[in-house]
Amino acid sequence: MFKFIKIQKKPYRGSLFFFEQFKYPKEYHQHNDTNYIKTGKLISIEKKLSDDKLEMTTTMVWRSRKDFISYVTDPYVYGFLMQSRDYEIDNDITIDVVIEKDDNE
Amino acid sequence: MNKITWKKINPTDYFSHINIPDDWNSLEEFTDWYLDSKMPLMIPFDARVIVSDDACAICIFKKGNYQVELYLQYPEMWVRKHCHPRMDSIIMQLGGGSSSPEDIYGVSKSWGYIDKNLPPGHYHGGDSVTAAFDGKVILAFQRWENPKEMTSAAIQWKGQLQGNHQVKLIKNYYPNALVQEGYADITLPKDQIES
Repeated sequence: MFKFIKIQKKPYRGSLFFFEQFKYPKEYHQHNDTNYIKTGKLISIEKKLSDDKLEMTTTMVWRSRKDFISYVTDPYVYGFLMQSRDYEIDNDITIDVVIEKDDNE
Repeated sequence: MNKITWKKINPTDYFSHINIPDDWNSLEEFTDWYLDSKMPLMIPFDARVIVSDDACAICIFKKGNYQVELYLQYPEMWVRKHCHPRMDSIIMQLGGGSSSPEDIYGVSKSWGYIDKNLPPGHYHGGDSVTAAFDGKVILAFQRWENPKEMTSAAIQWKGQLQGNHQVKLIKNYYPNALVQEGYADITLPKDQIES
């Protein structure tokens, strides 16, 4: 199992996280459903907003690190990941990442 | 020849077929020239191995105010948001570290992806998914505004820091620059408080 935890922090309450600003197309959800959820690669995804609404913690649990890498290097997904990264840079949203994994990963 | 040397290649002969221009008109032109020349590893005699928190690097070619640095990004690391105030840079992916699927010849599919020129002060980094990789390798093509300042992109830095090794590197080359908890700006004096 491979857990990828991304913590996004925005500078002030009025600013928006990428997912609040950008609506992912239906095809994106279908793509993920077909390739990662129904195949059992992505086990769960959970988003948690802090009480002060400034910090968003996204926890993705993957069957393996290899499955996670196949997702982030998927050419279709990659475009959206880069859009999100550029948005975070432009809007001063700071990122932290925590990885939890099995010993064999 | 001593007892352990098999043979000695003469660098003058080895690199003699490479036609090195006196100058280039742009970083793109320099990058094209270096790649068309099949990426000669002409490491300057005084090139220092740069050891930072997310990567180590060395200059593999330098002429005038142009240089190429080879970066070995460590496993489970990612580069935080930053810019380089007085240089243009172009990044080329060389793969490795399971950072993308396998292509022919066994290299990464990402091999050969070249980003657009990042002009001075243009923020980049923040690609946190690389924290899942077993590291990766990149080339950083650079055009510095001031050839006397040329060191490493890991040192000519404005933005979030990678860790204590980078703090030491920056303080060593820019002793009067602003370096504070988790952030540096080599364009500001150290007594300046960055909000």
